[in-house]
Amino acid sequence: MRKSIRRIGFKVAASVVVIVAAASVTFFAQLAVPGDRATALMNLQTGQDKAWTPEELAPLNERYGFDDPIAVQYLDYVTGLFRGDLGTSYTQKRPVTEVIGGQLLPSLTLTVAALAVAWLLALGITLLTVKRGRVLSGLGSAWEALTASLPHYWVGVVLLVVFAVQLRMFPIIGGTSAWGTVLPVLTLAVPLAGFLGQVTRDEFVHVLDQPFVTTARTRGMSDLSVRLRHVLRHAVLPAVTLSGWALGALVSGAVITENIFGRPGIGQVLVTAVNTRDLPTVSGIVLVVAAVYVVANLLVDLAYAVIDPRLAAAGAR
Amino acid sequence: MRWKFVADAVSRYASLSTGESHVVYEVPTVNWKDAQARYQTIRYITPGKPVSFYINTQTGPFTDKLVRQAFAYGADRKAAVEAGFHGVIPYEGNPAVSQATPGYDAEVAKAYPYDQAKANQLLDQAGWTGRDGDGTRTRNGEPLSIKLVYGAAFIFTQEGATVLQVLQEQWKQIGFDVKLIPATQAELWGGKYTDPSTFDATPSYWTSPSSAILWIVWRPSTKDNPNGSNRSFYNNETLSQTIQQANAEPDIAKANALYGQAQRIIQDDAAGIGLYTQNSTYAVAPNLKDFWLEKSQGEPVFTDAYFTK
Repeated sequence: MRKSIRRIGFKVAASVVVIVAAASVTFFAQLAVPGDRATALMNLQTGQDKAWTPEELAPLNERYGFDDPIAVQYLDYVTGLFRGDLGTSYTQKRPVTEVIGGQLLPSLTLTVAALAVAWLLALGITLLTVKRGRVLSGLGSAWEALTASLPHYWVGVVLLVVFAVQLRMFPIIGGTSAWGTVLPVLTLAVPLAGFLGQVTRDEFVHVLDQPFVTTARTRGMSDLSVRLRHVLRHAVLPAVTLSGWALGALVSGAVITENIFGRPGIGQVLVTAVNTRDLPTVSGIVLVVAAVYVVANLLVDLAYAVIDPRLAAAGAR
Repeated sequence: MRWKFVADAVSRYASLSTGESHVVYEVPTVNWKDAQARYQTIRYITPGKPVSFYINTQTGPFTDKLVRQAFAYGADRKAAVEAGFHGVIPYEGNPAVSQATPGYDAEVAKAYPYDQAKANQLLDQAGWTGRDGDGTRTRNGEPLSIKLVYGAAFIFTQEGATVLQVLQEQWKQIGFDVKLIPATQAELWGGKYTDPSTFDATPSYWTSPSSAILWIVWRPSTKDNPNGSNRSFYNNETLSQTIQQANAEPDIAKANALYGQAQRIIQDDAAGIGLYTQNSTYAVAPNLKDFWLEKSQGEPVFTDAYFTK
């Protein structure tokens, strides 16, 4: 018991380190972008593209501390993080927590739903087509290879044109309504399902040849039960591992999807913030994404233990 | 009234066909013909500085007026613009103000028609007579390289970038090695390309309802009173006096004559090179009436608008 508490404590500490590291990398990467932050803000506010005199830039430099030594700016920033203060957006002039807060839920809904739908699609196709004769198996793998290689933008536009413009089944600009979320979710889920399906399929084929499968069959178990109760449990492990990564990666796909379907979300906010050099907002979003990664990977660890009890036993030992 | 920000052009235009929107801004030029057939369309050419090149007259090959003029003659800007924008966006040969601007001089816009023979002759005259292995002209061993910086995806759409690529190919034929440098908004507005050493030409626009914009853009930049908007780094006392007189002149006809003179000075010296007009395009649902645009930026006005059945 004490050991597992220690293990959890270690994981949490490691997560904090990961998040602070992500924040630091973002901070310095943003500073490394050529050009001057005060100039960018002045041009943004006035809609111009010009050089400004030091006198014109002085008030902004003063207000946001751009002239302070880098070390001071960095320390301010990191200590702020521990107080839950992500700073104030340079362009929106309100706290970053507020800027992100309003957009976080639609993005999380989109990505989590996409992951769930991707799993359903992948499992359905795997269960139905693996080792079901050459034609069906071939169709299954071909479908997975095809969808895994589709870019989000293409999937999104095709779904939009077919189901929203031609068939009028779904709205084009659906916002965050449930009906309007269907196409964005599919846009993200279809390529991911192909990817998850490919990994699961290989493992599934391998496990089907194992002696314990034959044993189960000799005890009179139906093919579907064998697949569901025995084979699947083993075969999903690689895809579970990938899901931790996928949840984070979906955020980048979400940027494109939100763009196509005019959907609110942190993707849009991130792109705008990077373009306008709004460092506090960019860092805030990177932190949120890093946190999603960390949480997703903790969940993956937990899921392992549930799926394969041997791993939990090994961990607690 | 509901405003929605739909960044993707395909969705934006399609939302009109499903009735999810009644007015769409920035109609993709590929859809313009379709839009004309199905909806009411408005193309508004904004007054002010069109999308034209600032030419760096302070450092690099363009310090020589002959080279600037050769650059203007050397590519078929009109054809490139018409092809690149599917005939929707008009070419603008006047680099100083667009054809929608009060005081615009149409004669000035006609300078520098596409003439590669003339361009070659000017470059020979300027001493760029050598050629390296790639066909780029050289002078005293220096290649005729041009850094052309443009705002990718926020001043120039993909269509605009295609226009630049076509021009680049034509400039190559007369011995210019033009390097197209796409700049992000963060880089361009962050000031990465403000120093004269960082670019030779950069296209940009500035919407304004009056030719008085000339003073903002072309006011000489001095140490005591720098003008960060004068991106050609072009200080011309005669031009400065002419624009100031025009801005102070109460008689409109006289003011416009002076503005015309100012445009001619800029054009004759090739301190800027024209490209195309900045536009506001709208497609409007057939049952929405009395929707109109105000006459500066071309922003939509809905106060009179109403639906018919």
